[in-house]
Amino acid sequence: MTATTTFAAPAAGQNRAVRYGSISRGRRRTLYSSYFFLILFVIFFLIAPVYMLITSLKSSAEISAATNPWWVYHPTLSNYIDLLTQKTYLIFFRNSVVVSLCVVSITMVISVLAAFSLARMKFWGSATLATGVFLAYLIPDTLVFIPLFKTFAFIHNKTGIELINHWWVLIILLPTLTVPFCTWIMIGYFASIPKELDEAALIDGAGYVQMLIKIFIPVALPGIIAATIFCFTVSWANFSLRACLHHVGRSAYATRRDRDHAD
Amino acid sequence: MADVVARSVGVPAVNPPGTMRKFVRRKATIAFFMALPLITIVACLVVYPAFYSVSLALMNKSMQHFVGFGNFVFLFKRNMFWMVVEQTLLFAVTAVVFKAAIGFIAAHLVHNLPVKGQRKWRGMLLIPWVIPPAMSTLAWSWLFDPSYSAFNWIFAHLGMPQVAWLGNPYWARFAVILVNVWVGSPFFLIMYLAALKSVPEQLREAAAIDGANWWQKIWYINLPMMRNIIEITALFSLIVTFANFDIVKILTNGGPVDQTHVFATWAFNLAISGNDIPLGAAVSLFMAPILAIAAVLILRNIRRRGTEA
Repeated sequence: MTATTTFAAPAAGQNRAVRYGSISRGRRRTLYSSYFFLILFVIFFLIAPVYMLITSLKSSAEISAATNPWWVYHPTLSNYIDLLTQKTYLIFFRNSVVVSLCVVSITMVISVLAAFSLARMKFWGSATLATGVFLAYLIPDTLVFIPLFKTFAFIHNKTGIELINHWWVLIILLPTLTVPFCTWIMIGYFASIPKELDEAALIDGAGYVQMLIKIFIPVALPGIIAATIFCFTVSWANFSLRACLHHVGRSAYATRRDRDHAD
Repeated sequence: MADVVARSVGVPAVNPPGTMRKFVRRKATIAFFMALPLITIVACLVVYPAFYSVSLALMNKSMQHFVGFGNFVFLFKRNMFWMVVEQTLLFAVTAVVFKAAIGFIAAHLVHNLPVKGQRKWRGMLLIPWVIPPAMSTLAWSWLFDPSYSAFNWIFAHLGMPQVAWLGNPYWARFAVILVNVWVGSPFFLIMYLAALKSVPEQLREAAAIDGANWWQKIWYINLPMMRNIIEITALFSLIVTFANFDIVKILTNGGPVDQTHVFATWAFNLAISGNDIPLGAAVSLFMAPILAIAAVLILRNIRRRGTEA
């Protein structure tokens, strides 16, 4: 037993000394090749945004002259100035901001309340509902936009309220995409909060609302922030519902990008 | 006796507000009311449209009377429909495979770097995911522009033949898949990187001591440890890619000669631009079976992950 250990110890030491050199050389090689391939990936990933930036700095004359598309010879900010002094663009921008902020606040209120009740205060069918929320998230918006479009036409026929071609309708529609996902994420976060915390709060006489506001929201704040960011990006970037609302397939936001393109 | 009578008379008078109040104060009731907005939203904006689209798909074009499976029979007889099925499958499967491969490779490359430098590389690689897809697709459509294509400019300088990116059906199919891969692979990268970080370093060290090379380390350690995340991410992405709308709509709008249509864009063009809502609803319903299979697999994976942890 002792013989093997005394034999093994120097061997291991020697082995380590030899391997140390080879590993560091091997590591350096892996590191350099990693950098090389990562640069290739970054070029691929940045090609479109960089091209967009370059083109935005060109004047129309330079674009139609069809010079090197990857370089600006006469950089100009006139496109940006034009956009920012244009009334329509500012209106589109305001619409996007208002829609996103409203959708974020509606979604967060609904999903935090629902996630708290589904994660902590079980009721009949709450487990099924939690699974259902996840399934609702998996249903793509492209599956529901045709019936929604038809429903809008129906509402217009019955009540005379026109819902197509109005940007504020997005505030009602976009929670379809954001609420299920945010609820699902928040259920996960709330479920990971230790039970002892709410038991302590119950013993101190807190009601459920107090428990939610004073314990769950502060503790799960990182999750709430993550869900808020997700919700904002979805409502800011969604295209299909905007296309569905506008017959021609151009919404406030997309039209704005088209103008960007045209300039 | 009188006391009993009084109580029995008094009970119904006093008890309803009591039980009512108790009912309102009960945990389950409060919980239900807290979940009510969610239930309303899911019911009105997800469940109702889903069922409504089934009933729409069974109507005739003017939506006057019920035609049963007439729309489906009509679709099955059209070559265009089978072309769309083929293109959607090709589009979704190819795109997901490439996204997963690129995400997997890039995650390993980032993981190889020293921890200090990882942040900025990760940030750069996540940019396509942060830009709204509708907007980056526009940038790609200028890159593919027939007269000003920036790629063709490079090709011309390298002495290579010009490519009609969005004019030739095969190149157009390639272009929509390329843009989809470009938009989607950062998501795989971030998921796989997180999974890679959770693989214990000791396992790889033990393998290195046993003389495993980099490929064996990936194949026998990283892949089995990341399997669950790989499956969930790929299935999830399959759903999203299968139902993709904005990239195809903006880049080609189904053209050239309708060769790049997927279910969502074709359904949109039939129903909303072409004014045949039942036929469009029928087309969009073909997304459902694949979605259902993927959803069941995802749920099973998540459950298994829950029991393993």
